[in-house]
Amino acid sequence: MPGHCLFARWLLRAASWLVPAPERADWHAEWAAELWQVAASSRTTKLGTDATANRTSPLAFICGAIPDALYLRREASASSSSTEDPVSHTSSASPQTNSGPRSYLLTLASICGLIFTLALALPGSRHALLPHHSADASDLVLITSSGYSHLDQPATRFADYQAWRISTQKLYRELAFYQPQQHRLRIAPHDEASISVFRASNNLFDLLGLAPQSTAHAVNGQPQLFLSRSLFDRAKGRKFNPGFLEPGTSVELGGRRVIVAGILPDSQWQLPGHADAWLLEDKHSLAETSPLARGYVVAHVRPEAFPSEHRVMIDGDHRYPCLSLAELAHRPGSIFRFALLLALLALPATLPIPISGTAERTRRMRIRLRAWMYFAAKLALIVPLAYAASLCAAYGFLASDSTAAPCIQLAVAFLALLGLFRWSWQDQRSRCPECLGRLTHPARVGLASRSFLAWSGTELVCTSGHGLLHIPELPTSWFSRPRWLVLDSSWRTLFATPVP
Amino acid sequence: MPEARLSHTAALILQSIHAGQVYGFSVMEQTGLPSGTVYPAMRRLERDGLIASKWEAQAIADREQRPPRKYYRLTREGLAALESVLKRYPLIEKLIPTPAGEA
Repeated sequence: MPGHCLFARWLLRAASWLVPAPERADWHAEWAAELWQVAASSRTTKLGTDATANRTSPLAFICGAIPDALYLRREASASSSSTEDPVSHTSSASPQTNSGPRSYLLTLASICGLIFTLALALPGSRHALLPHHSADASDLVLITSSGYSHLDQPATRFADYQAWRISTQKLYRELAFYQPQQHRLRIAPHDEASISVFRASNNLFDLLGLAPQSTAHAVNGQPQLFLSRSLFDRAKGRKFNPGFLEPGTSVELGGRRVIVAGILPDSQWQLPGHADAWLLEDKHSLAETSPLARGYVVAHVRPEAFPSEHRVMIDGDHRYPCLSLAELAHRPGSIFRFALLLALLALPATLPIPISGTAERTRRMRIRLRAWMYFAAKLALIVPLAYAASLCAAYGFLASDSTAAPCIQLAVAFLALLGLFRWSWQDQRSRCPECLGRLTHPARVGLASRSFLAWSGTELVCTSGHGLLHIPELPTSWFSRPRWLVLDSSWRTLFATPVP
Repeated sequence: MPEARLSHTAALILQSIHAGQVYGFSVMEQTGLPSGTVYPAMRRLERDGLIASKWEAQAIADREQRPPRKYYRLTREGLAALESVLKRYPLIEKLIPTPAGEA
């Protein structure tokens, strides 16, 4: 059989899966018979002498099977939703009965996708979500005076940096210094802007492994100005003289002429502080800095110098915690993991329904596995959703080194995880263990005063007829947990069609 | 049954079946419509009771060494609907002439 006929048969088989199951065999038989005719007609036309005969190729013919299958599917769903069963017509019209697990998962996945898109759209949260990785990040540290607290404030004196460059050669291979400053920069012939500039030693970029773009060669000894991508784009967007800050041009900054040496992508800077530009100066120019000026010191540690991961430099009476840049970049992840642990610990105390579950459940392993897979799918969507939401809330509008950002992330992540875990557990408990359809039609059963040899509580029904869930109002020694009552197939005639 | 408002495509298909093209593929070949149009249209016509389908006998298929096919024919309502729609689309009868015995 020619290849295209085989492919057409395969396509027909695939399209048959779109047809509702009761009609599938009949539908497939009809199309298969017609396809045979088309193939035979096509072969006859090829062999015949009539070159103008119109022949339909099997592939072109079988493409019509898909709209036909979709039509039957639409008809089947339209007729099932409009069926007026005299016993359960209200059930079939009720939206709750058709709330299958798929629609919930789809909704959850859509929300997760939206939140992730928002997290990627906001620069701060994108920065936290996709940290830039440099090759030696684990050996690069930020020398601080007080650890993670007050990272947004430069605390290291320039004099200390100068002293450490000489006295700590056994601990560090290299040290670099940067100091936040504010300057006015002309970004267009008639436009000045106040920008934050990091004045730094000229080995800073090499130490951090940063790779600026569009670099221009600078004269030896002349300070090099590297612009952030966002500042460069802002200057480039000016109507007149869009190339005002192109690499290689000379600009005035802080009363001096400097060369624009390149552009640094925004995603590469992972250290505390937000900069619009970096001014790299050589040792002699940097030495003019006041000894009491405060900034940040970055170092490349010698691995053998610090025996443990927790690195602390002791200089006289002072302790200087050394924070790994790799840990700094992954700090949001660490905070989220902590929030996840807290939420899991707090969950049992906040659930109204016991975790231990119902007293009687279906014994078929396949059905139970399906229910557990649905629960696992919900959790798999909840965790990234909460992570992205916490990043948006904490870093979307605040600087990553802001003191408040980690606290906001922890709080939002904890509340989101706790709330969503509770929802997913309650959703699981409110579904039929057989078909995962929502249990509905709550009915009060019994009297509250009759708890001896009787029970009072709420009864929920699976509208597909799989069973009843009995929830006691007052737990007793013989009936304390929700109980699932399985209905056998003789009850099915009273119920609507099963939830897909 | 109220008179069905038939489209030109449905009218073509009805006339083709009336003219003796009882299989879906032969309706396709005579009308020039693609399979994605003809088959769903025939399902709708069958749903509305204007045509009826039946599987041909297995013996016929075995004799010709091919799979059995489903064939279609007009119902009484379909014939009535065809007569009224031919008044609306008179060119259809020129495109697909009604068989001599049925005129």
